[in-house]
Amino acid sequence: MSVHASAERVARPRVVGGHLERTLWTLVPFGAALLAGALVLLLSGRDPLVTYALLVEQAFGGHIAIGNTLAQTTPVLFTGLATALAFRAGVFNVGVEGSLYLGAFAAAWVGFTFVGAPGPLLLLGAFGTAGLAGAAWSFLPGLLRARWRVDEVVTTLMLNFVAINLTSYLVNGPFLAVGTANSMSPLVDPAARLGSLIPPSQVSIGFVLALGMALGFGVVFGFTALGYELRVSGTSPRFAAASGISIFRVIVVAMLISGLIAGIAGAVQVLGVNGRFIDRFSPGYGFTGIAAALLGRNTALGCVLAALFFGALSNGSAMMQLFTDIPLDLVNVLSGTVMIFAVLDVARLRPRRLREAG
Amino acid sequence: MTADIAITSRSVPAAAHLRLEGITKRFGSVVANEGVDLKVAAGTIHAVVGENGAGKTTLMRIVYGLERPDAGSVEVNGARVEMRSPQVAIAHGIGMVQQHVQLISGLTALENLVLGREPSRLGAFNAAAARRQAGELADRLHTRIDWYAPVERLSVGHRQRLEIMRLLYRDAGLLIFDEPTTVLTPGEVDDLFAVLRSLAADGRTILFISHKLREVLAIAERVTVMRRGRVVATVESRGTDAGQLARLMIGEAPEPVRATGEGATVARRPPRDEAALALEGCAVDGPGGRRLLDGIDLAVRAGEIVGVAGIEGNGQRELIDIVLGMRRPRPGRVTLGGRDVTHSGVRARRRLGISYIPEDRNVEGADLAGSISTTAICLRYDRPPLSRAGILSLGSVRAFTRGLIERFGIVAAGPDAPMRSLSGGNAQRLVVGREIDASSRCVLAAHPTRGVDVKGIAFIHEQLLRLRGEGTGILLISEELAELFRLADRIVVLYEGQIVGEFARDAVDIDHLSRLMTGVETGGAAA
Repeated sequence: MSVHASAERVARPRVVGGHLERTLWTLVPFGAALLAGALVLLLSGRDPLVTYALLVEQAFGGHIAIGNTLAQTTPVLFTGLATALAFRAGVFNVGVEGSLYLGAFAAAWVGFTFVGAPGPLLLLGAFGTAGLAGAAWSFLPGLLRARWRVDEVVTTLMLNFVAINLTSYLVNGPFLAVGTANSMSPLVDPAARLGSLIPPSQVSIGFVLALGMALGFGVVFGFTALGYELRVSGTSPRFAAASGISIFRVIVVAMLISGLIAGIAGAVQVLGVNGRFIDRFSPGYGFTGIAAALLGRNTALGCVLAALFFGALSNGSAMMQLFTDIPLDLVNVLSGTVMIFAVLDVARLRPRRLREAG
Repeated sequence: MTADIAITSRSVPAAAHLRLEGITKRFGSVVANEGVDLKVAAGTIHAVVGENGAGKTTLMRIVYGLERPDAGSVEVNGARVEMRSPQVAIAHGIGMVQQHVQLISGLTALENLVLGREPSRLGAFNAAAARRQAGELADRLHTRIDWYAPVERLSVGHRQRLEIMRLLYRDAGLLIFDEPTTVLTPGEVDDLFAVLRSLAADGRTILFISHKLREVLAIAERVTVMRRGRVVATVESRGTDAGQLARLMIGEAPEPVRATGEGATVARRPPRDEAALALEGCAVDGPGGRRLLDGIDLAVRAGEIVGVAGIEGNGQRELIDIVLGMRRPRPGRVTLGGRDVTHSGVRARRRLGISYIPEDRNVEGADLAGSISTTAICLRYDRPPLSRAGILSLGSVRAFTRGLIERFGIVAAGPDAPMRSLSGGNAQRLVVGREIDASSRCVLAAHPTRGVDVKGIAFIHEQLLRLRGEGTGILLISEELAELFRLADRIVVLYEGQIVGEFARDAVDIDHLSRLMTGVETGGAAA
């Protein structure tokens, strides 16, 4: 009994430290990125505080600015979660961009093909098809990795280009909208459009869906058997295997869910923002999602913060360029620095994990 | 000239090429080498033998500058040298062929050979000169090699040969081989030995690390035996035999625990006839067609502990894999409590009541990145009461973990504390507790007490004996002969993937056992 009591005394602070530490660690890369960005600004002869204040004002000053920031946040939050889920399970899926394109096209196809169908059915059909398309796209690399240990980084990365060009062909050929400019599908049925969240800004209720997805992500990893399997397979694959968890199944399932989320991201872009599929519509949401997942340390909350960060940066900088003399390049440097910190974070984690294993 | 050297080295150990004095190296609380003295005469083949963990590899890494000793000195050709790095070792003519050959894939054999010291003419790579020198080296070793093939296309034997040529290219006079034969087929081993002999005849010194005594006696002139970090003897191979070496290497026989030992205090039913676990004709092939496990017939009856003795790397890992279901034997059959589970996965076998105490709890037994609960629930998370319809009940998870903590006296802050906050002994208690908490028909225990303190060892032994008393069949894989003698009812010996002998608890002949373990004697010799 006395042994037990003394152990509590010794170990309890560590547990508290653990939770606090984890929350803090989630914030560190953001702060570090801002500091590094400040240095870059200083070197280029600008006052970082003034620049940041301007950026914040452009991104968050007023409900329209906030709305537009959230509009930029939405796809990155989806792709960030899609990436984080795979990463958590130990699968390095960098093919979210490809699934996003497939999902976007699938949603658009349902939207412009079944014109006149009841609205809820149309929405459900569009989202369902998009999710399936995204999942199907990531199934093959998942299977290859699980069954034959084919490096998923290579396959998923390459399939991105296939997806982008495949949808480009579809929308320039068989599904080119009649009488409109090149490289677009017809508009979807208005009944399939997602409503605006903060009119007249660009943000749709897709943002709410993204937040719901983040919540679901947290629930899956915190409270479900599936989440347990994914998590343990990611951190200790041999422990998982020896416990009877099928790593094969985990890899395939993680890739499917990751692709599904990415497909839904595409649907939200089509139904919430563009109203149609546009050739090469994504400025690399799938890749920004990788940075968001890394920066957010593969947690739901981390992904929300990171997506907001990138969303604000993207929206704020676009506005800033319109109204000030600060060139967009400088902001690109800033987001580049953030990316570096996102990656550096991984480098910091890796040796620690190796040390634990050894 | 060579005759002179040969004569003097026969009479008195003449000019020592390498001399180690009082080498001591600790890793934390583990002593890898303690006061090691070693003298290697020039132009000889000198072997260092010992079980895994005896300190051979650490010693060689010190000689090659990969580790710094805590105390002691290294002399090369009579002059003291601080082996700060492999570069220093190389500069003093020392080369090392590691167990897993260190070549750069993507480059050709020729490029690998000259890498770092390319012949050049007018500042440009002189391919012709490189090819000529490579040809001379190959001739000297009576080897043919495709110099323009990428190294990954060469066979393991050829890659090793290339590594040797790399050392010769850098003019190494002392060549260290760390277990060079483990990756080779028997034919390749003969070729390697021919090469080693010609190198020695050439006046080079060979230091050969192994635990295979037959090989050592075949190739080495002098043999140093290490055990638990110390040198126990250095003998001329002509004046010894494998039996003596095996005894030196394994040590004296520990006293088996008899009726008066701790085993007797635990209620004990005699083993029943039904087999808890049976392997029939199981084989596993490794890469390159090497048989890692061959013709394994093994039955563990309910209420019986069967010990598997053997030096690590003789098929233990593969044995674990086919019993647990991580790998399928080909051919072979595995039954658990009479049911054929040959084609069942790990989970199905776990459900049928197989428990696994892994050799490395940090890798296979626990998730160090998670909480104590994460590690505790891995066999039950998917069933009530811990989860229903895929939803975990966090309350039940905590209660379950708390139950294990209390029942097995684990010192822990609580179920949510990080797994890595547990000490080694407590972590092992948790893993063992989790595994035997389920009613198990069969326990697979691999080195269950490795790295565990005395108290922890007693706990684990007690649990295994209790389970045996309750009718569980236990397969105990261990390198610790003392552990096997204390616990096992029968001991089988695994050598190069085969069961080469079997002993009843009361009829263990330690000499015979150690000869079987070290491959001095093979097959058919059951006591």
